[in-house]
Amino acid sequence: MIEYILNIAIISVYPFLFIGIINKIKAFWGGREGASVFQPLYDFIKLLKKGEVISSTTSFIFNITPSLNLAAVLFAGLFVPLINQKAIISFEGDFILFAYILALSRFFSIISAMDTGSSFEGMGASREVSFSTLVEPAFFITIASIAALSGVNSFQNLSLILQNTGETGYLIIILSIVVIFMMILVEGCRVPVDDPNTHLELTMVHEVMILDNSGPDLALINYANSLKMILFSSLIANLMIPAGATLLNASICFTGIVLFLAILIGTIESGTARYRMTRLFEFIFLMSSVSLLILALTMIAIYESPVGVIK
Amino acid sequence: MTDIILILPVIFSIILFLMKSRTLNNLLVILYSVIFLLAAIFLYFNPNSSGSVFNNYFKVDSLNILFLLILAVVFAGVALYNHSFVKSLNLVVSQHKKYSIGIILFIFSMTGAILSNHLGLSWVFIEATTLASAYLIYLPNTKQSLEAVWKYVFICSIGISLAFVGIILLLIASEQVNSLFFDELYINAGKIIPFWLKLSFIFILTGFGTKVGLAPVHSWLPDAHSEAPSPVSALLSATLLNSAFLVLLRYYKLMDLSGLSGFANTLLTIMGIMSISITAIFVFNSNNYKRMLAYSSIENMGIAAIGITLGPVGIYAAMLQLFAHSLIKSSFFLTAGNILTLFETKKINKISGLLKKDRLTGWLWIACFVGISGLPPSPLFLSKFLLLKELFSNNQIVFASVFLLLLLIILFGIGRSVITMTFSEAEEANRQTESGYLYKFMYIPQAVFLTGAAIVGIYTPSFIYNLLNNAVIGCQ
Amino acid sequence: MIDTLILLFGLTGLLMSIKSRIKTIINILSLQGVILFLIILFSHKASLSLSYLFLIFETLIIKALFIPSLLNKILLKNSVDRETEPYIPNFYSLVISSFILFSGITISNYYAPFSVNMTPLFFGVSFSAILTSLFFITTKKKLLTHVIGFAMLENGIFLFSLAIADEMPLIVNLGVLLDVFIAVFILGLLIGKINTVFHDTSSCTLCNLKDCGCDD
Repeated sequence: MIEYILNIAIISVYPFLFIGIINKIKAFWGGREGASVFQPLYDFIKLLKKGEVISSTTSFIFNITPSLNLAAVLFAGLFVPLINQKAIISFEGDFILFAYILALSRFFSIISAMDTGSSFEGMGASREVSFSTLVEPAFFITIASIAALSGVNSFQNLSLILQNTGETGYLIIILSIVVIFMMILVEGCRVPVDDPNTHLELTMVHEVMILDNSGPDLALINYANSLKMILFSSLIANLMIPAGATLLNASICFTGIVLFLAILIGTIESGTARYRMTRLFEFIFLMSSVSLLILALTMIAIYESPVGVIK
Repeated sequence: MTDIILILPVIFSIILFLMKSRTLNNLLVILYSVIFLLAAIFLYFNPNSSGSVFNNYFKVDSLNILFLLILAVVFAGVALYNHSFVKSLNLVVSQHKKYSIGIILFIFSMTGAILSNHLGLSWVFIEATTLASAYLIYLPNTKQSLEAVWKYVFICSIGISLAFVGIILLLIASEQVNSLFFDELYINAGKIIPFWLKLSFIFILTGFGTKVGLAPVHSWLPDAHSEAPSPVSALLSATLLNSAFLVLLRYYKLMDLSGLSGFANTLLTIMGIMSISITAIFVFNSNNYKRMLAYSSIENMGIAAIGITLGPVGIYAAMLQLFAHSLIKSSFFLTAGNILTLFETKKINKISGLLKKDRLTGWLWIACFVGISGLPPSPLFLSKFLLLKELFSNNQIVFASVFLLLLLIILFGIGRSVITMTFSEAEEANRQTESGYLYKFMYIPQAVFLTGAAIVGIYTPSFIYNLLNNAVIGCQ
Repeated sequence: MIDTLILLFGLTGLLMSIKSRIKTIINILSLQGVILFLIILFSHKASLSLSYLFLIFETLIIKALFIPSLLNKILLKNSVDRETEPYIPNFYSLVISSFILFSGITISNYYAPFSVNMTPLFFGVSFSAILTSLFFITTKKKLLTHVIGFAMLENGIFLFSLAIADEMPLIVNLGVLLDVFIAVFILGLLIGKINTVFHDTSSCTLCNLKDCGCDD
């Protein structure tokens, strides 16, 4: 019971805090005081109270996309284990549904961007599409490998991997954490994939797709974006927290890991520039290369100890 | 006796390094070649006296005495030619010194590779040949020779590294045996794991095949052999390819004893026929006669590679092929050196009327062509004939026809260039230029080699027949 | 611990294919030397035997310090344009090297019969390092990158020879000797000469000797 309350709290509050901490860290590295940590929450409430301006060249897709986006991300969040490694719904193969629900939300945001008829948004949409195409094999190979190692083909028992394998298990977990972290950068549209602070439309990728959204729609889109980042972070946290931890310990570790990831993302944003396009594609494909490596290691681990592991 | 052959060059090169005398340079090279020839003949008649300080690492057996004798004879002829050739090069004393040291060390490393009984030691010596001959190729000091030497060192070093991977794989394959001496490997051939041995053979064939000049790893050969000075080209083509081939031959015997000869035969045949095809394509339109000769070396090595896959008769044919090719190709390259001195150009279309310019060189050039193309009385005719006989008796009719067709194309390609160069009318421009002077010693080695080859081709003396036969037996 | 280091070695092979500044690639080469040094440190019991000391010297001093510094000196002296010039874009080179790495490890896991000494990861990574460096050599235009690729090949072969180092330390030392010889020879002597002779960086460097029937 208490876990469900905690999970709802996480889904509601953490996304705002995540973005807030990232901005605060960027301000710290920039030598500034920076906005308050709760600023994204204040922005959200402000946007909810505003009216909307909708372009007359758009169709119904532009209207429904932000809500659909949020609904898809919330639905996908049902499968991800948050605190205490228990997802709200879990069954075999749920990570495939997770990936494709997110793909559905991305599809709709892309066609809504193209719906506006602006060429900038079309350009952003095509860039976004190429990034997610390259990320998809990385995601599937990584998650499938670690899911296969955990014994059940789902997100459920991620923390049980270490019980089934030897030293190779540690290597697999570390590499998976690196890959999922890079996925956070891609899905959440952070540097070095996409700079959220740039105001030049030619250099934007995700920001330019939401140029025409305003009011509550914009609030929902921002919230959905940061919720995606929290979901991936909780995957990392569940890989790291051992299985038998108590609820108090697990929640403290979870919060700590999410906080650490936010600080890390903020530091990377302060220290790096966005990569140029060709280098960016190589960077994103590097994720797939590392995930191929994870697959090879998984096959080695399965080959060595076939007991208790699904082949 | 093997000690003498091995330690003497080191002593000579140290002496040459410390002294600075032109006569000493020439003297020591010729002295080395004479002693080498005498020692090789002595070793042929007394093979058991080859116990040496280095124990088991160097040994003379029936297989490598053939290669040692070939090296000795070719080196003797080349040393004589070299004596007169350096006069036309106009070298400074220090360059001449380095050149002579280079030649001595080059021959030393080839001797080590031939005599060695340990796979790792052969590998070291083959690597040393690359390094020793690199300076020799760069001697003309032109842009083209720099490019040639770069390609040579780089490609051969990559090849040698791949051969090293092959040796490591062999050690993995032969875990219980744990030694790289050839005779110990042969005795324990049954205990070697076939999977690793096959993988190891692929790497060793690619690696040592680079030094032999088999396609597709032959790309250094035309550049290196054409840009080097002529005596060095002769040595490279006639003796270096043989030394690397010997290592391949010993490894092939290991594959045969382990029962994997089918796999080895397939690979060798593929590389052999590819070599001959490459030659047929490139020799047709070549404008540089030394490059043409280099491609012909690739072809002959390909024929030898096909030969050793065909059983005892094939191995005999391959040995005869290598023997004759060394003699004839070295005379070919030395005569090419004469032409270079006379006309000062390497381009075929700028040379005409060779016969009118210098009668003896022209006839030598034609005689070499007759030898290399396998027209009787050349012994290459015998070897190719035996090879074809084996192919037909194995019912490989299509392969034999392709083989014959490619040889025909090569014959036409080389013949066209040679005959155009020799029998055409001399052009006006050529008559006026001043040509280099050709000393007596620049004709004698070629004449001796060609006569010897012709004699072997018509009537094989019994000692040569025994020599080749024992080599074949040593390879079984 | 050794598995982690071997994996890091494999990842450096991947990194080599996406970086395009020559200085970065030389630094990755030096990193490979340090990783090899750590592998030797962790896999052999520390002793004062000559071969062990020689291995330590070879990896740390020669592979990690000497060869990269020599390459850097050549880069400073001779190159105007300090980027690698690949024949195929870096993206496809990354795709191919990651497939080589993956198939190397997988094939060695399932097909090869193994002994105690070699894990599939070891064999797969070293084998794919050799193949990746051959691929690296053939797909780049500059001579200096050819030499860097050759140094990578040497590193891969050295890793491979560590598998049998226990039974036959002689072989590892032979490989080391090869490394030193080739490094001194190629790097020291020839490349200096090539860059002084071939001044024009616009035309192809190694294209003077050709087989066409043209009359140049």
